[in-house]
Amino acid sequence: MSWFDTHADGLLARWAEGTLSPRQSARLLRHVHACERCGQQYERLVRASRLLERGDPHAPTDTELAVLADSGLMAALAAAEPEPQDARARWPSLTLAGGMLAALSLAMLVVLVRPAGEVESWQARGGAVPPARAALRVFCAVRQQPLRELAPSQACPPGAQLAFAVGADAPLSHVAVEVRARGRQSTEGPFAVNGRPGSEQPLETTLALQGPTGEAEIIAAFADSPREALAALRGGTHRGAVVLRLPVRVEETP
Amino acid sequence: MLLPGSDRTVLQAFREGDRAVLTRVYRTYSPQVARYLAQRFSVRAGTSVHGVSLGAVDLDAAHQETFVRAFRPALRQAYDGVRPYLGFLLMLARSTAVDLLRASGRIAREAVPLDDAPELAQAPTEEHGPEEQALQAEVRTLVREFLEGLPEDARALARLRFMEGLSQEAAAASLHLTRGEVRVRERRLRTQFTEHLLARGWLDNPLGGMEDDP
Repeated sequence: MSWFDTHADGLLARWAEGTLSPRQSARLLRHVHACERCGQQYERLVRASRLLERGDPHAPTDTELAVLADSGLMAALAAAEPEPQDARARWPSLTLAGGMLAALSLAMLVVLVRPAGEVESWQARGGAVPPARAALRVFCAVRQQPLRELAPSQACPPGAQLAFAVGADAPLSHVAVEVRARGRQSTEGPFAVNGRPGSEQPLETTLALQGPTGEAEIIAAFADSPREALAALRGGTHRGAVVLRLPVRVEETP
Repeated sequence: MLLPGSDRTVLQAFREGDRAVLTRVYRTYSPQVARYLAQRFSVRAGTSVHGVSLGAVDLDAAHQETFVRAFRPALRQAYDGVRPYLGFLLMLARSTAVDLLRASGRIAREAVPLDDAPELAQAPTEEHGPEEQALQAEVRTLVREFLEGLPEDARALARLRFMEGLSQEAAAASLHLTRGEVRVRERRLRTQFTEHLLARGWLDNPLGGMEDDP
């Protein structure tokens, strides 16, 4: 996996050639969902290709079918995982997972937005914050420097790439991530979530930390479908969605 | 039946969430679900009927969402193993398409009350709206110009592979080429087509030139 892949829009040319790998196919399709301009380009390219190769604007080409088959499999398999039988029964293992994550991994303090309707069943006595069912780790990637995990309010220089690792329990199967800084925002996803809290897996994407120095916020929205993950990222309310936020500083580091 | 030639043990493994079986099911039906979702649907809302289709981006979302729904434990258990699984999947695909069309506002929510779902039937011959017709005419012109501008050997390859739907092996035999030569020429043909679309302004130029954008 490269932390420094170019913009996914460049993959459209490879799509047109029919030479995308399965990983690139999945990345392209995730990206066109989040990037309106790239989505429009993709729609136009697909429309023209269908007419050239099929003579029918509603008949997918072999390239399209191959890309669709490659991109959706992991999400479908993730959805097949068994759902928790009883949320209360999972409390001890979740506590343990949360503790291990905090102790072993430069754990990040995240602000958990509890979905409406779940708060009562999860509310701990004394106002303690219940353990998260989803975990996000963010890494600052600067050329010629080792990858560095970011704790809350730590600094990452402008122009650096942010890399991510996520984990979540079923039914949270998808995540979308966004970086917001000084009125600018960049979104990637949704992605299928393959890891669990305590054994997070990297997302095959990076986001550039752009803009002037100052405060930035990294947001990850987890939900049980790609559409709901994007909706949760955009502020939509969905029962069961989990949104994690990490404040960071955009500034030069020693 | 879940898969052609499969028995009860395969169905049992499917219900238990065996990843190998789920992968086989996915690979087997993915193209048929995608073709179904790409077709034009006829939507009835009240007394009016109009045609609507998912865009390429929505097609990806609907295709993925169909299998996500189908593979969830409750729906795996719900499949009886007797009826053809493709029918079960296409029913889910249709429901997913309706949800997406509602969410995107292409089917008015108020026109489709929950207790009176719209009738969706595939109607590929239905009349298209003026905007859709104009777009199709523009693309057809682009394709025709591209094909007419090709040298004879490239046009012959396009005819065999695209219009007649021959495999690369069959096209190679017909053109007295190796399969490798056909593969290379086909890739060049696709590249030339993209360049044609760029030159005519159908696509932004260059395709990969927005690396600095968020």
